[in-house]
Amino acid sequence: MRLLLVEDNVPLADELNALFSRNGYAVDWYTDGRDAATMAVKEPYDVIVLDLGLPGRPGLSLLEEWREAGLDIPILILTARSSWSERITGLRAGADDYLPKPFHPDELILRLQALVRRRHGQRPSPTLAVAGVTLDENSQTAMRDSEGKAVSLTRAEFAIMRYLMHHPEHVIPKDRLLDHLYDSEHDRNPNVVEVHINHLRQKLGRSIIVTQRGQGYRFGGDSTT
Amino acid sequence: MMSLTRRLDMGLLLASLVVMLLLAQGSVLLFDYATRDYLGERLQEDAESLIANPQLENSPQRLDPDTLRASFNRVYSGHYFLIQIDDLPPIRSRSLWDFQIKPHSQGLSHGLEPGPEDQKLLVWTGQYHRGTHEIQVTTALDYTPVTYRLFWLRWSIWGLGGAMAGLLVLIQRRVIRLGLKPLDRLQQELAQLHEGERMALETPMPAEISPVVTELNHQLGRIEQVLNRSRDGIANLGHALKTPLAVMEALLSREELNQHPDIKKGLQHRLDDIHRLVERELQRARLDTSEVSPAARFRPEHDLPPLLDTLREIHGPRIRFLCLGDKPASLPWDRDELLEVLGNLLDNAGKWAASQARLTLHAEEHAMRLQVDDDGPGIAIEHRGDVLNRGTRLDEQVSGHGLGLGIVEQIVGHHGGTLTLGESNLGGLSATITLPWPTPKLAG
Repeated sequence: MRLLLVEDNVPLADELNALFSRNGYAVDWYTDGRDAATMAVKEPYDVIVLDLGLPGRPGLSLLEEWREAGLDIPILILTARSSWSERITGLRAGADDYLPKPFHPDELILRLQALVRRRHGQRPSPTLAVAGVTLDENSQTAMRDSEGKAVSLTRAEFAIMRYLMHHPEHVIPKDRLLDHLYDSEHDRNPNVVEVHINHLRQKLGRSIIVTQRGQGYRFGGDSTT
Repeated sequence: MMSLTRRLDMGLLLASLVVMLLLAQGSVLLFDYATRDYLGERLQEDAESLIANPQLENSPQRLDPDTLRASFNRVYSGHYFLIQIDDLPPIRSRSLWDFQIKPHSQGLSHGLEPGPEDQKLLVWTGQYHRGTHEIQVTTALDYTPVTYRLFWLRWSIWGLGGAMAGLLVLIQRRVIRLGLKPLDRLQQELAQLHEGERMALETPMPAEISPVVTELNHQLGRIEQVLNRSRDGIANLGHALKTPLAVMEALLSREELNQHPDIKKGLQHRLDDIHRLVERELQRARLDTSEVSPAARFRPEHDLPPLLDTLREIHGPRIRFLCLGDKPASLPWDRDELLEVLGNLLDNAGKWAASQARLTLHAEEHAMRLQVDDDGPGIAIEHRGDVLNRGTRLDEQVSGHGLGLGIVEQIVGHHGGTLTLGESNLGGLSATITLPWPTPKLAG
């Protein structure tokens, strides 16, 4: 899952980078609002975390510009301005959530999960259950309901599972999977995806991910049910 | 209190009365002197015409009354004479009757001599030689009619002078009032200044006062500058502190620290303390400098829907947010402050509610009452005081940093209002804000 972080404070951005990576997000980080403005439209991000007090361009004007341009990804505002009038202004400008600093990291992750879920029409809960497979985002484990045993996933495996489960009806081309799994500086080796998918099949059964030859991958669900 | 007008009135009154007194006294003296001089000459003429009377040559013992002026013959008429020829018995005018008039050395008497019937006499004496005779003639005139007129004249001048002094005071008072009129406007402006409606004095002032006003404006400007600088300083510091606080929160949540739960907990509490202090000072800085301009007022019809939309977005479809009661067009409080109060209360209600949170507005005679109800578990009566006094939250599981009620109390207290907690008829907690209407002067 690709995340765009726009934050000018380096120590905070370092911590957030580590936090997001731990939770299976591929993070692109920009400190300047002008860079972020173009990147958000160019790259296929799944969620944006935006600081309002940015050098270059204020966050609110970025937000308005993106929404006017029809950018339809969830955006969470992260700001030191905590008053309700500022919160209302932020949300009216098109943000999906507003988290004032300082915040508890767990709360930020929960809010991000809820945002992504809401965007995919799912109930906001810490677990994602699709077609007989349950994915727990907090423990990064997956479980086939027919077996009832939770299996730990690596960060990359978890990220792939989450993306596929958010789009259960779609066939996802390998390129698109790569786009959403790795940040723009990461070495994109398509073979790595295949390796991770093989691992997932070993852990959860062959049918968990279906390969559509020449097209991509599709979430298979719990084939025994 | 010392009154400038009264002081000037007293000064002018005293000065003009003294001037009038001197004027009256002086003019009476001059008039008296001139009159005596003139009457002295008349007396001398009388004496010379008596000497010229040929009867004196023939029978120096008496003068035929018929040849004299009638006033010399009428008793105590006020015109008298006495003629002494050598050592012979003096010849007296008939008008003297039995009164003895004393001759005097030469010329006009210095003062007035007593005369018959309380008359005051102006006496003139002259020495003449006629042949071998030594003749001394004394003529006298009753001066009381003149004294009486002078007395009347003096009082007239005094009266006129007094009236003029009074008139002068009235004119001066009017001039002062006109002159001080800018001060009234100055006072009004200062009152507006006190209410925070303006930051400078603008009425043009007379040259005598304008340096004071200029200096006052200068000082006001300086104070505003210092105020702004310190408010901005607090705001910048407060907002700048929040990012490092967020970094520390993130550091605290690292797995390495899970092995030292005591340290982690202690640090977490201190971070919460710092956060609370920062929020409180930020809010205080906002309250100290907020101005209720008509544009910044809270308009329920306009401002409540976005707030409720925001809350619905935050809490999702599980909680219904309702708004009931009176909705005046505009309330005389700052929009941001009321949004902060209602946002925090409704957000709390939303966190605890099972299915609905409700805001009710009551416009009452003396105060605006804003009531927020929820159908959550409520707070036991013995814990309500703790919640209010410390602004802390009882249940650490509900997200948020427990600052909401503290800020609500701060804002409500600033406007002289109260926050009370009670039991709601929905079953949960009911938080009621009572804000007394500002005085008409402020509202208008």
